[in-house]
Order: sequence, then C-alpha cells, then structure tokens
Amino acid sequence: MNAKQMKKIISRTAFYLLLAVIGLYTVFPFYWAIVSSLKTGSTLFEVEYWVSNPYWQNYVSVFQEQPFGRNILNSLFVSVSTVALSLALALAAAYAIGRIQFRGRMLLLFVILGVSMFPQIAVLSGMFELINSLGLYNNLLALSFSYLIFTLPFTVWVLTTFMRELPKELEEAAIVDGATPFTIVTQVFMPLMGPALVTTGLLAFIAAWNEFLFALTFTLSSEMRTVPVAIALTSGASAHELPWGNIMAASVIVTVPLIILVLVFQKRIVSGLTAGAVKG
Amino acid sequence: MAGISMQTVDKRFGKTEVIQQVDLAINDGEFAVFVGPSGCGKSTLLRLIAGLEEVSGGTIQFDNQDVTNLEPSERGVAMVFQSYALYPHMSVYDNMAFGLKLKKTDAKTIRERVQESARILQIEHLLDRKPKELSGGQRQRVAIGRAIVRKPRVFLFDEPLSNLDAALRVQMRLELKRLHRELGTTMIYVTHDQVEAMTLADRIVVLNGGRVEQVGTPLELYHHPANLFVAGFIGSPKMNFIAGKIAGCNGNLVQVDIGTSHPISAEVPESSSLKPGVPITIGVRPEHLSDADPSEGSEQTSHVEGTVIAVEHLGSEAYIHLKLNTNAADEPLVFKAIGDTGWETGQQATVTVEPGRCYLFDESGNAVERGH
Amino acid sequence: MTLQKQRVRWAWIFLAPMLLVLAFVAGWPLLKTMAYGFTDASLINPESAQFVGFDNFAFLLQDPYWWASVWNTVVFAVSSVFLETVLGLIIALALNAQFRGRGGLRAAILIPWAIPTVVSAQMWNWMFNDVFGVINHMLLGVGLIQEPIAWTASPDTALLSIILVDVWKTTPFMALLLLAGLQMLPKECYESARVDGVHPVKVFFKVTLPLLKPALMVAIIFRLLDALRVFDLVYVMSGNNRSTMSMSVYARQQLIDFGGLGFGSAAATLIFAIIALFTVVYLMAARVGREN
Repeated sequence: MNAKQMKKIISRTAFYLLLAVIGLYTVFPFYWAIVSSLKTGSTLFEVEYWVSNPYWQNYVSVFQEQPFGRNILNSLFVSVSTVALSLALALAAAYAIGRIQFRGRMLLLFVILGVSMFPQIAVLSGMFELINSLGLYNNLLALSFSYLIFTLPFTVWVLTTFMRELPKELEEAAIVDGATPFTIVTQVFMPLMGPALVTTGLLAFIAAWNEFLFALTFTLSSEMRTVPVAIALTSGASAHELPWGNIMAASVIVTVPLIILVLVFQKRIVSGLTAGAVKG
Repeated sequence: MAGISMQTVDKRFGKTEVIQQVDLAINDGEFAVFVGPSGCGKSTLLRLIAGLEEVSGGTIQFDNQDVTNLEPSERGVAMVFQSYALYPHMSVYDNMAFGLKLKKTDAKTIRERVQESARILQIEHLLDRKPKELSGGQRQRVAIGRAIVRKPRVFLFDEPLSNLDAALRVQMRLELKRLHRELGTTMIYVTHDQVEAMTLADRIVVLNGGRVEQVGTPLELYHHPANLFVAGFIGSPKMNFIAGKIAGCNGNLVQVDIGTSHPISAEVPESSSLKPGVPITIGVRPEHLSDADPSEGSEQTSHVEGTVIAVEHLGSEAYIHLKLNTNAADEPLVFKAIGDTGWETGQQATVTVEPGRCYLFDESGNAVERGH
Repeated sequence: MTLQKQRVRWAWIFLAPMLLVLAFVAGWPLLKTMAYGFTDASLINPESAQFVGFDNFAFLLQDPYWWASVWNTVVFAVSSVFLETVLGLIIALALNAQFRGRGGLRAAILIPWAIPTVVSAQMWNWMFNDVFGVINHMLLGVGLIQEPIAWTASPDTALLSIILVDVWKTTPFMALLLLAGLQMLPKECYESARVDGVHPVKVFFKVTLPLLKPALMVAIIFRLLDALRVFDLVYVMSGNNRSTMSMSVYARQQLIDFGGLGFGSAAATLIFAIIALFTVVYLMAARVGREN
C-alpha cells in the first residue's frame, strides 16, 4: 500500500467518523428521552444506555396525574384552526401579491416580512388587553387568534413564492375562458397548489404546536394549557423532585407524531423552508 | 364571427415601444398570420387583440363594436397557447367544458358541444384522460378543442405548433387549414416560421420592430415585397441582395453596375424615373438564378461570374454559394441547382439573371415598382 | 373595465381580509403596547393608567437587571448563532458529498428542528441534571471533569448550557438552508477548479464561501432575529433566574408576574426598537458589503 492509498483511507475514515458524530449528536438527546421515559422511578437515577426491561407506567401516569389528554386536544384544536385560517387568508393574498401587478406591492411584501420579524414580546401587553376585552382570556380561541401573528406572514410569504412559479399561460387560458380571479384561485390554482399548501400548512402547524409565550400568558387553568405549557409546568411534590419519568414520557408522546410527519414530508419541508428564506 | 380593425394602436412596456402606430384590418372569416423575427411584437399584437394586454393608445374594433376596453371573455375570443396551457387537474372533457360552465351554459348544450368538437378533432376516445396522459399532438388538439367549444368570434393562436416535432407539425398545419374551412371563423395565427405563414395564411402580416412592414397574400409578398425586410424574410433560402448603382436606362430596362465587368439588366416600367448614378440594391431569389449555358437565353439576359465557395446538397436540389468577382465584400450569391449538380468548391461559375426576375430597392430600402 | 383594472380591484379584495387580520393581531397590539409604555398602568386595573412620559424608560435604563438581560441576550444570540453557522456549514458540506445513507442522515438532522423548544429544554435539563444527568456521567467517565457540575443551576455554566441547547436545536435549520444554497452553486466553478488542481481547502475559501455568502447572510439574519427574542428556552431551562434572563423574559416578568403593565410594555417597546434598529443596521451593512 502506498502513501496515496493510505491517505485516501484515512480521509475516508475521518469523513465517516464525522458523519457518525453528526448523527449521534442530533439523535442522542431524543433517544435518551425515550430511554428515560421507560425507566421506573428508581432505575431512572442510574445511567444506563439501554433499557432491557421497559416500564410503561410513566405513559399511563402522565395522563392520570394531569389533564394531558385534554392538553393534546387543546394543542390540536389551536394549531389546526390557526393553520386553516392562515392558509385561507394567505392563499388569496398570495395570489394578489404573486400574480397581479399593482402599486404598493413591494411595500406590502416589506410590511409582511417586517411583521414576521416582530418579537412576540413586543405585542404581548397589547394582545393581552385585546384578548381580555374580547373576553377570551383563558380561552383557546385567544391562542388560535393570536398565533396568526406569526403563522400568517409566514404562510403569505411562502405561498407567494410558490404562486409565482405557476405558469402564466395557464392563468391566461382561464382568463380567456372567462374565469374571474376568484375562479382562477379556487378552481385552477388551488388544486395545483396542493403540495405547496401541505408544506406551508405543516410548517405553520409545527410553529403553532410549539408556541410557548402566548400559550403560557393567555391561559390560566391546567385544562386550558397546550402541550408545551403543560410539559414546562409539570411539577412534582417539590421543586427539586421533578417527575422526570412523566416529563420524558410526555415529551416523547408529543414529539413522535411530529417526527413522523417531518420524516414523511422531509423533502417538502426542506423546499418550504428554503422557499421562505433563500428565495426571499 | 367578426372582422377586426385596429387604428393607430400603440403598446409601451415602460419606455420600450413594442407596438408602434399599427393600423390593420382583418376580414371576417380570414386566416391571418402574423409573422416576423423574435421581438417584432407579433405576440404582443395578438395579446392586445385578445385583451390580455391593454393598449397604450389607439382602438381595436370587432366588426363595428369597440372592444378596446373589454376583458378577454367579453370580446368572445378563444386562444391556443404555445404550451397548450391545459388545466392539469381536469380531464380532457372538463378542460373543454370549463369555459362553458363558467358562462352557465346548460349541461346538455355543454355535452353536445364538447362531443361535437371532440368528433371534429378526433379526440372522442380521450375525453376521460388527464392532460399528462396525452402525447404532445393530442394535447394540442385538446387545446384547440377547448377553443372550438366556445364558438368564439375570433380564434387566436400563439405559436401553437412550435412544441411539436417536424412531422406532426406538417400534419397539424393541414388540420388547422381544414378546421378553418369547416368553421369559417376568423383566425389569427402568430409564428416566426415563414413556411408556416406561407402555407396557412389567406393573408400574411409581416411585422418588424413593432411596425407592420407589409400585409398581403402569400404570393403577393413573394412576388411584390414592399421593401428589403419583407423581401429578405419571405422565401427560403433568402433573396440575394447586391448593392450597386444605376449605370444606364434604356426603355423598360435599367443597367445596374455591381462592380463586375458587365452590369446587370433589370426590368422596370417604362414610366420609371430612375436616373443613372443613383445607388440601388438589386435582389434575386436563388431559385431564379440559373447555371445553364451562358450562351442560351435572350440578349437581355445578364451574367455574373464568381468562385464556388460552398455547395449544399439537399438531395432534390442543391444550393451553390458563389463569391462574386468584385472588390466589394458582399455576401456570397446563392443559387439553386439540380440535385446531382456537378459544382465543386473552387470552380469558376457563371450564372444567368433574367431581367424580369430582378427586384430593385432604393436607398431607403423601399421596392422600386417592378416591370410587370 | 379593462382586464388590468379589474385585476387590481380583485387584488385588494383578496388582500383585505389578510390585511385586516394583520392589523388586528399585529398592528393594534403593537401600538397599544407602545402606548402602555408611557403610562403607569397596572395589570389588575389597566383603565386607571396615568400618562408618565418617559419615566418608565428612564427607570429601565438605570435598572442593572435590565442591562444584565440585554447582555445575556447579546451573548446568547452572538455565540449561539456563531456556533450554529460554523457547525451548520460543516454539516451542510458533509451532506453535500455523495455517500450511502445520505438521505437517512439528512432526515435525522431534522429531528432536533421538529422537537418543540419546550421539550428540548426539558430533555436537556434532564441530561444536564447535576446528580443523575447523563452528561456529567459521560464527562466523569472519560475523566474530563473530576466532580459533577451543576450545569443549569450554577451561574457560571447556566447560560452556556442554554446556548448549547439552542445550538443543538437550530443547527439543523442552518445546515439545511446552507445545503440548499450549496446545491444551487454552479457546478462548472468546481469542475474548472479541479481541472486547475486547486487544493480543496482553497476551493472552499476562494469559491464556495464567496458564492455562498448571500445564502449565509440571509440565514444569519433570520437566526439572529430569532435569537434576540428568545424566551421559551431560557424560561424553561432556568425560569426567571437573573444570571440567564433574556430581554423577553425580563419584560414578561415585569408585565405578568409583577403586574407592571406600563413598565413591562416600556421594556417590550425597547426590545422592539433594539431589534428593529439592529435589522436596519444589518441590512445596511449587507448592502454596503454587496456594493464593495
């Protein structure tokens, strides 16, 4: 074996080592959460990298000791409703911005981009007052409504980039056929935007599902909490005795569906993320 | 059905004038073809007629109705696009029915019209398919069918055949011609291909730089081009142009000095006002030059000599490129010869020019009236 | 009516609902928050607010805790975005190469991104646990440390822990954006560089990095803006702890926990102003950089 071959083997090995480290680094923490969620109260406190004897009680008690089932339904309701509303509003807006020439279009895009960069804290007290005056405090609708501040600009932005890519002649054919813009959006473009709507909806769903600040501030009772708040505020008998088994079980429960979604729609998510960022 | 007339139509995109002062009349039931090089404004002109673009000035009328400010659907036009622009998520039937459904036509009429158009285009067996399951030629038929069902006043075609392969293009050309005979509706067709224009058109509109250069039947354009541009654009291979000046006038013949030993004689009307010394461009089509024995022909026939620099064999005919024996750096003279011609590169050749086959163009490029 | 005029009218019809909602969820609350910032409003009784001018802001600028939170936020944002960019670039370059299992690895790095921030905070809290945490166990095992470290509790390491979690969670986002940027680079540049026999490291600094710069700048600004408003990670990992408190945590504590609607709003307004100013400066610097 000569030096050149040697060098090649070494660099090859180093490369695969790097890949292994990357893989381990990204996956291990979640793996550890799964392992921890399957341990009994006492074995939890011994570091063991493999569970030989899975203990499922944590997954039961998380639903018994707190209204976790209710929390999941809350999160689902809030996320689905805010995403549905965002997509409906954004599809119409994206058509207008993406395909019609009118004065003030660039300014509008700039404002939308600006809103998507708002720190949520900057609207917190105004939003709090608004929600109180609408009588929505400690009500899930308050969350569906307030989440629009970050889902709406994002969906408008991404759908606009997708909308621009649809062929111009298709729209002109519809115009010659006598279609109004409303017909064009609902009957011609929407069926073609299916994949884009799925991607954008999924990304907005994840953002809404994970939101914490508004959910923490605008709800009071544990029945009204969404999943992230419930997991953050899980407490044991004392501050120093957190029920780690339960917390890890809850974490796994809310994360596994997300991970499955992400793995299934992997390609589309990446295209959606880059449509929102790189092309913007 | 409708005749179309345009008065002093202008179109500007920002500062660029794409259409300049176009006056044009297309007769009811006519097959008109807009032809010109890319960027000449032919597609824009079509889109102005469709109503997809707004005029910057001037008016457009269908029969006697001013449609300048009407939307496409209100004008009663149907358009076939280069990319077909079929709705990908709808079946062929739904693609064709879409426009009628939007017009709230009753279901029975829709069905009848779609069936009938499908029959005319022989696509009845495809009605349940989606566009992606069709071949290019079939998609093209569906796109045409979508236009037919609406019984428009005018059909507009925007380079509809350029995505098809050569064989299919010839076939669709014949079908379009047949369709026009059957329907009798006004059709406007945009193409950059002068062969398509010559074969399809009742009348051709030649456009260049946003202006109409000439309007006429295919043979009018071939025999009587109004200027250098039309003369060069219509006909393939293109007409030869040789710059020279008038050497002498003799009744209905003028002698043009092109720098060779003998001037070329060209036929003009008796009334011609050409004077010796005037610069002039002489044009001869390759098919009107002959390599036959120079001693034959009438005494009015002129001869030009040169060196063969290229021979293009097309099988049925051949085109010979000749470098003239002049000092001027003119383009080579191309002439048509029989398919198995014996000409080879480097040989000296003499070709004969009939005076009646010559076209003359004055300094500003306009055609001088021909002798017959 | 001509087509174009008709379409412009439709454009505004289509935009109206979205604009109305945005005005309602973003415009109004923002203005209201700013207005509260100039009053002494309390959360219990917002109506009895008195206008106090710039008092809240004056007080804010003297509050060492506010400055501590600003400092924490800046340290957090700069160091985590820096680490994310470097790591993200390495991962993106690795994923841009051809190897078996590339799709699987690309999917795997999406996992941290998909996990809710609160969940990752709790997962790492547990891993960072001083007595039972796996991290101390590993470090003790290989002999890097002699005794357990109270990662999240000790003021020396709390902020570092938070930064590490953020890096873990958001590096994938960075890597994917940069990977998309890498895949858009023209292949010819690389082929000609290879034909010329340029060393790969030199190719990276002379070809890849300059070409990738636009994508990199966009990704960095997105992440910086995100990091400057950080709340959930800090709040879940160490609550209202002064040694790690971010600007958002500070403002929310004043606003909700202490009921200081006016004062908290002033802090929130200042955060908004800081971030807006930062964005403008960044964009101008990017423009100047482009022109040079």
